[in-house]
Parts: sequence; structure tokens; C-alpha cells
Amino acid sequence: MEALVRYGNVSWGIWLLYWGVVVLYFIWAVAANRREKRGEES
Amino acid sequence: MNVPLLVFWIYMALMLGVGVIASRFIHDPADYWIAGGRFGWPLGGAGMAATQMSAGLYIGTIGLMYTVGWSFAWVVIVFPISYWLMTVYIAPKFKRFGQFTLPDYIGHRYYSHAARLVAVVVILISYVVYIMAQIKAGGMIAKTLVGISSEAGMIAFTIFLIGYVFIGGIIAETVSDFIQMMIMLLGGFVAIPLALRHTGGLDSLMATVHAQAPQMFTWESMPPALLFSMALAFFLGAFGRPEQLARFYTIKDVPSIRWAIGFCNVLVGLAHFSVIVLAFAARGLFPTLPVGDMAMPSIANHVLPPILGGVLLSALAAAMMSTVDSLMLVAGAAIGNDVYAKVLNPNASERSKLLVGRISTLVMGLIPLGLLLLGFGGGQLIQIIVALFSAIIGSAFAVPVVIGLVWRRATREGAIASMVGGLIACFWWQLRPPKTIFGLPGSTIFPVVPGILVAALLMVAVSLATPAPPETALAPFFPRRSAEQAAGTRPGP
Repeated sequence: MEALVRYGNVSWGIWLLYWGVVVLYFIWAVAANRREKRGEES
Repeated sequence: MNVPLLVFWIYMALMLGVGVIASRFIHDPADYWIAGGRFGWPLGGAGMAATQMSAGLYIGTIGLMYTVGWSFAWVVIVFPISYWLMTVYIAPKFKRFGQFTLPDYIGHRYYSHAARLVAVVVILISYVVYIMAQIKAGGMIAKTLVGISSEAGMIAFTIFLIGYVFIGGIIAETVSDFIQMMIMLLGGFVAIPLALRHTGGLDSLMATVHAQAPQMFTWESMPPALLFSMALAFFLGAFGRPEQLARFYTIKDVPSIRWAIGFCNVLVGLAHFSVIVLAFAARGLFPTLPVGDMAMPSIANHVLPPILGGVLLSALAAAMMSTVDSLMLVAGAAIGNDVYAKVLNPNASERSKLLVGRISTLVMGLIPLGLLLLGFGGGQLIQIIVALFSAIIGSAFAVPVVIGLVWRRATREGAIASMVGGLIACFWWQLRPPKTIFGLPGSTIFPVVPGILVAALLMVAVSLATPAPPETALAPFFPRRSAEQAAGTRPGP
């Protein structure tokens, strides 16, 4: 871990960004699916 | 007994078995081309991820990371963003339209057989050439693994590919993609701890690589401007890939497509993460490889125990096959569905459409092999098409796909001008790039960027100069607006 912190500074950002976008995507997808389901039910 | 080879043969036999089982579920062209639109998110997502990650990831990308280091990993961010935009703007409309292929969309949205046939010609030429390159690489893998001639390797590789795609269609292709995706991840993640054990752990590896090549930890070897150009090329190109767009037809509904895209993003992220760690491991263990492309085979051959080396080499073959089988099916569909079933003989029975679909897929596997065996594999034009494959597809299709779904005024003439003009601009830029542009050498701007810009300009200019599209062409893609117009509450286009 120490080595990643020391040498991986160029890379850490991309993985945080990547998985951050993926998590945001899932939040959006769940919300969109729920919204659609509610629309169908009503 | 050669253990890696045994693992490899078991894997090939598994793929053929998948084809045989899948064939039982195929009764008509809809089953063959889009699995009747019945896939759930696991198959849909893994299929997308496997198609996205060709052998390029395990040979070219890992090789580039071996050479330039961490910075290249930043390109990976374009994938979740482009997929997200596709899920919002493209997938629901494609799913609602519910046909089989990208030319189906082009032909209907642009109310023209001519536009459909332009799309078919672009697909046939570029896909046949690209499949040739992949079969050639398959022959070389077989030569390395088995020791047979590369010609015999190419024939064997093609027979396996054709075998399961011909009999099992998109179902075999997608199930095999799912298995191939899991093999890729397994190969990558099993290799990481074993490779790190050889390097004395992560800390020691990083220190070794840093001492050898400190530029691998900086932006020096991949300047942000070049990285941005490359990322832009991947991003723009993603919207025009027929094999990926056609997958939206195969998944059962829009909520499942959203889950599938999320699953695909997880798989893509994991695979890229494994690749960058292995690239560094290769750099630490084999610092003087003649080309970066040797990184993965070197780890498979020298670091892993034979059975795991076999798994990793199978992962290489899997990455290649999961892309080629999709391309073969798209090229087959271009003839079987887009030319025969939609233009030449629309009244043909479902049975004959299915038969012609199967035969056309077979032919699309045999033509590239035949051309290679006749010695057409090394021409300059072929090299250019292979190098430009993604750019050609992006330049031709990204604009008609995206603009056609968001702008009702886009016309048939605009679409044809856009596809042809985008292609010409793409080739022109590759052959005669300007010396500098925005302070960068012209050759560092990927040809898909000027290709798509020219395509977009032509689409807008020609569309505005030609009569508006008929409402029948627009209705599947703009249902609310079309309904309002039919009810007389809104003027049209």
C-alpha cells in the first residue's frame, strides 16, 4: 500500500473517478427504473 | 502432455458445446440475430464488456501501459461515460424500434434502401478486413502454442469460430462471450498475486519499476493533450459500433439494459485494473522486452504454473474470439438480414431468412480466411483499414445514429452525405495529416475526430437543404411528438 501511495499518484485519481462514475450510474439507473415502474403502475 | 495446450483445447471444445446447446433455442431469424430480445442483464452486460475488450486489451493496451505507465489508464474513464449517455439517449429508442441490426435503423430512420446499403458496404469492407487481421493473429497464437503452421492455425481458429456462431447465432455468441469474459477476469486476477510473488510484492515491484523507468509514474510519456485526443476518439467512436448497438435489441427491456450497462462497466473496470497491474509486473520482471505487446505472453509463459498459463493464454484467445464472433455475426447480418431479407426478398419465409442468415455468417467467416490463404493479408490498404477500424466505424455511423435520434430534421440525403463524407475525412486525415493543429502535430489527433466533425457538418448542412423526413420514418424514434402531430396539437418536423 505504501508503494501505491508513494508511486501511484498519477493513477489513483482515475480509479477513484472511474468507480465514482460507476456508482453514480447505478444510483441513476435504480432511480430511473423505479420512476418507470411507478409510471407503469399509475 | 502440454498442459497449457490441453487447457486451450478444453476451452475450444466448451465453445463448440455452447454453440450446439444454443442451436436448440433458435427457431427463426429473430432468435438467430437478437435471441428474440430475451436476454437478461448478466448476459447482456457481459456480452457488451467482452465485445468491448478485444485482444487489443491483453496485447496492445497492456503493451502500451508497459511502455508509458500509469497515465494511459486515464483513457478508461470514457467507457462508463459513453455507455451512460448511450443508455439515456440511444438504448430506449433502439429497443422500442426493435429490429435486428444497425443498417435496419439507418434504413428505417432515413427511409432509404440507399442509406441502408451504404451502411452495409461500410460494414462488409471494414469488418471483413478486420476479421482477416484477427484470424491472422489467431493463426500466430496457434503456431506459438501448438507448433503447427500459421495457415493450419488460421483454418482451425476459423472453423471453431464459425462452428459455434453458425449453429448458435447470437445466443451462442453471447453465452460464449459471458464465459470468455469470466475467463479473461479469472486469467487476469489469478495472474496478479502470482506475478507479485515473483516480484517480491507490490512495494518491491513499484520501487524496481520506479528505479528503471521513472517516467512511467508521470505524465511525460503520455502528455495530457495526446491522452485527450485518444480518449475523445474512443468516446466518439463508441456511439457508432454496430455490434454494440445491436446488443440493445437483444436485451429484454430498458430497465434490464440499464443494469446490463452497469454490469458491463464493473467488468470493464476490473479487467483494466488487472491489466495495468500486470503491465507493471511485466515491466519489473521483463524490463527489456523488444515490444510491449510481449508483456502478457511473457507473464503467461514464464511466471505462471502451466495450467494457469494455459488459462491466461486461453484468456487471450477468448478476448480475440469474443470480438471476432460479434463482428462475424454483424457482417453476416448485413448480408442475410439487410440485403436479402429487407431488400432483395422481403416476402421470403422465416425459414429461408434463417437459412440465408446462417449461410451469410458462414460466408463472412470463410471470405476473410480465403483472402488470407490467397495471400491478401499484407497489402497496404488492408494495413490502413485495420489500423483505422474503430475510426472508420465511428466516422461513418456515430453521427447518423446520434443525430438521427435527437434531431427530427435529419434527412436521408444528410445521412448518406454524412457517412460518405465522414469516411473520406477519416482516410484523408490518416494519409495526409496537417503538420500542426492547436499546437499539436496533426498526426497525434486521431482520424475519427475530423471524421466525425465533417460527418456532423455534412449531416446538418445537407439535411437543411433537402426536404424534411416523412412522419412514418420518425414515429418509432419520436413517438410523443409524432402522436401530437397526428392529433394536430403540434406542427411538424
